[in-house]
Amino acid sequence: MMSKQVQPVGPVVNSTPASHPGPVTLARRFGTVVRLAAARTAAPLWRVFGGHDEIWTYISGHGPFTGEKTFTAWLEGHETQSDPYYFTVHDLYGRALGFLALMHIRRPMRVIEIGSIVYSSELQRTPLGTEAQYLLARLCFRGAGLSPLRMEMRFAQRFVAARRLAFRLRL
Amino acid sequence: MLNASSRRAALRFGFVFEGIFRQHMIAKGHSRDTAYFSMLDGEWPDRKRNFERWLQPGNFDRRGRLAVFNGATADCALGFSERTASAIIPAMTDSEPHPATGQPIGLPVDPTPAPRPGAVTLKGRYGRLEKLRPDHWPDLWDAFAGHDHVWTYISTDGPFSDVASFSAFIAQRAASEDPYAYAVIDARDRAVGYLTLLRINPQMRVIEVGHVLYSPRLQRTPLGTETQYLLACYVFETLGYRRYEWKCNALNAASRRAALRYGFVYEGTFRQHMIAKGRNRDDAWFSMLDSEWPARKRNFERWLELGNFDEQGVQKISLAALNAAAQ
Repeated sequence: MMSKQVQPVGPVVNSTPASHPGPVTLARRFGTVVRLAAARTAAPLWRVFGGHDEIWTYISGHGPFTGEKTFTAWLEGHETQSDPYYFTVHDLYGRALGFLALMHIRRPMRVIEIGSIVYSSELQRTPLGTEAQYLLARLCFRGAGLSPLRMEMRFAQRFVAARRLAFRLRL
Repeated sequence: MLNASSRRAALRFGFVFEGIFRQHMIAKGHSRDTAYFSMLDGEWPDRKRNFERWLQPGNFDRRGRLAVFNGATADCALGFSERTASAIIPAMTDSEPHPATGQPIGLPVDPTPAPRPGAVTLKGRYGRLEKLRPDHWPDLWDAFAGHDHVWTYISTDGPFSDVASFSAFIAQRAASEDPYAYAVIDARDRAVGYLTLLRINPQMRVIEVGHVLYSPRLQRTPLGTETQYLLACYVFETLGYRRYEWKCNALNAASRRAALRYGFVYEGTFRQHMIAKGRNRDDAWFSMLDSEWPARKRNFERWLELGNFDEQGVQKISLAALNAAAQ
């Protein structure tokens, strides 16, 4: 016999798909976030990344790179990808100091993830580092016209205890 | 070093912690657990205010150091607190120091990809599983017709109102490589339900059991449980996967109960994870690891013994109780 149980369901939501992120430049007080352009940013990024292998430890698929050449080749391979969709972070002098990506983009579900975040030591613990997160979140929720319902962040679940306090913003 | 601080960064930016996926990936030859955080559209206006308040120039002194903000530290103004961070005590798998940097990383694992599931027949005491075929549809229609409630929490398919669309759906299910469907055949040789292996990730050796559709003929029967046992055996022992996932609509109480009863571990709920049939869907995630399987297997086998049922077929020991005791 069929059991007649109550089956709760979620609220009806707007099912119009969200837009895909585009090649925007997001400028604000401490710097800018722009769509990745490998030819312009590979060399400046390598200047701040080179010699800092530890920034790649928790990036699951790539790095550390043995030299500028392999890094540049990797970066070039990502500038035409639509998912992950890479952005670079620049300070007020225009120097590229790190990158991050919007990824696992599920437009029909209006879900998007911020990930593959690599901040050089010059970007870590700076207002610009925080502002970049603000700018991309704003783009995702509002700027794309149709706001995603949800923004995700995920990473390797390992961290150095000693660094727990170190993240506090200090310049 | 960015990612050592990522969890704190996520909380500081106002993301909400949702769960840890154990053995979620094999990254650079090491086992990796993944922490999930999210921010919802409904939360953004508040987070945005905090970001903007924190980013204003008055929040920094002339040397660019953080000024005291309304009597609180600036990080508090961004919504971050030590209390929030320490309230999260995740269940993680083991780690060791990175040989070069000393950062903790997961243990090395065999990175050989697992095989994809195949067209096997898995025989049990109460019935069997076999590859779903288009010609299973008449049995399944017979078992499902008139029971529309079994489709409520299936995110995209059903219910079906006529034979033509149902048989076409079964044919399409049968042809799919991912999800890869198996029919459940009872002792009278009738197909009484199906289930699939999906999101098959041989590189990471991660696989999910889902689109589990049990007709009333299969619900609450030993064969229904044996089906889960046979498939888990196949996934862990024959194919060599290291993480076996169960996900369901968080409102689907029967599915959540079933996951725990079979011995899956609850890992978290993804808020606003999908739009399913025009409605919001939160997703509850569960998993079973290769290291947990031997104990789960013993419990399955103990429960499935003929001696565990009286003359009316009523169980003597409950599987939920056996697995609850083990966890």
